[in-house]
Amino acid sequence: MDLSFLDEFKRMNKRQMYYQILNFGMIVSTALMIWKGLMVVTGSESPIVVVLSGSMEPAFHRGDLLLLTHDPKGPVRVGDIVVFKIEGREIPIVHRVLKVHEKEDGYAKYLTKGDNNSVDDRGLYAPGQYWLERKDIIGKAKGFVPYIGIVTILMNDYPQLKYVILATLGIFVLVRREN
Amino acid sequence: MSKISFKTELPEDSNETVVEKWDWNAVKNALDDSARKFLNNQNGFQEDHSLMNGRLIVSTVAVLFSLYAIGYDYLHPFPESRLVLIVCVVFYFIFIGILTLYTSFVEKGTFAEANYKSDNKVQHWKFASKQKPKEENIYVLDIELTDGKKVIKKTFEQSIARYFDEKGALVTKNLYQDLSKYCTNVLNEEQKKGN
Repeated sequence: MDLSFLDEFKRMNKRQMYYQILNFGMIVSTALMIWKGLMVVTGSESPIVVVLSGSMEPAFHRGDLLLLTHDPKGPVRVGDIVVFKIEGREIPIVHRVLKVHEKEDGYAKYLTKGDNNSVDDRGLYAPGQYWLERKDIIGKAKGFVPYIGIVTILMNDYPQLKYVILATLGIFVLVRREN
Repeated sequence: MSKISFKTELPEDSNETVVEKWDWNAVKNALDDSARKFLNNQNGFQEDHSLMNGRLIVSTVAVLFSLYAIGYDYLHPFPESRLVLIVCVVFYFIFIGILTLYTSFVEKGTFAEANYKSDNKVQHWKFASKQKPKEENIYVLDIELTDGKKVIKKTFEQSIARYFDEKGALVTKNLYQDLSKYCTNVLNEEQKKGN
C-alpha cells in the first residue's frame, strides 16, 4: 500500500496541523449547520427522513427520502401524510391521516393508516392508545426524492458499515492536505 | 544597502521527500514545503505567519459558532434553541464566506512569508504557487518583495520534471538553485528601481 501521504502529514508544522483539524471540523460543521438550518426553516426536528418500510406503497417506497415540515398550530386534515412518534418506539412512522375528531376547545384526535396496510394503525400505537394527539405528530411530509435513502437503509441493516465508512473518511480528511 | 546572497545548501534536518509524481497536490505540497524551508533558512530571514494566522483565526471562529450551536442545541433541544441556531448558522456561513474570499483574494496561494531586516528597513518576501492551467506539469511560482513602498512581483515557471527524479524523489538541489536565481533576480530588480 502506498503510504506516502503519511510522509506529507509528518512534514506539516504546527499551524498546518491545526488547520488540518479545523478543516475536518469545518467539513463536519458545514453538514451539521445545513441540517440545523433546515430544522429552523422547516420547524421539524428531523427535516429529512428515509422511508424504512413499504407500508405507504405506492406513494413512498423503501429508500425514498422525505422532506418534512412541522407547524405545531397548523391544521391536520384527512388525507395528509403525517409523521408521528409512539411511546416506546424509537423510529417515527409516516402514515396517512384517516379520521379526525376536533372539539370546539381545540382538542383534536387523529387515526392514521398506512396506504399499503389492510388495517389502521391502532395495532401500532402504544397499548391502550386508540388515537393520536397533536403532540404525537412531529411533522408532515411535503416532498420526496426517490431511491437516495437506500444508502441509509444499508447502513441501518449493517451498522458496522457505517463506522468503517466514517472512520475511513475521517482519517483521510485529517491526514490528506489539499490546497 | 548590503546585498543578500542566497544560500542553496539544504537545511540540516531535511530528509528525502518522495511523492507520487502524478498527484499534483502531493507534488505542490512537496515543492511548497521545500521552498518555505529555503526562504526561512536564509541568513537574517525571519518566518512571518501573518497570512496563515489570519486564515486560522477565521476558521476557528467559524468552527466555534458551529460548536456553540451544537452544544446549545444538545442542552436545550430544538424549538427552544431556535434563535441561537439561526444566529450560529448565519454567522457560520458568513465566516465560511469570509474564509473563501480570504483564500482567493488575500492569500492567493501564498504559502510562505518571511521578513528580512537590514538598515532599519524591513523587506517582506512572499512566495505563492499554483499549477499552470492547461500545462499541468508547470509549477508557477510568484515571488513578491515588498520594501517600504516598493513592490516587486515576478512570476517564474518551471516544469516539475526538473525537481523530481523518476522515483518521485524531490531533487532539492535543483529547486534551491532556481529559487536562489529567482530571488536574486527579484532583488536586482528591486535595486534597479532605486531607493
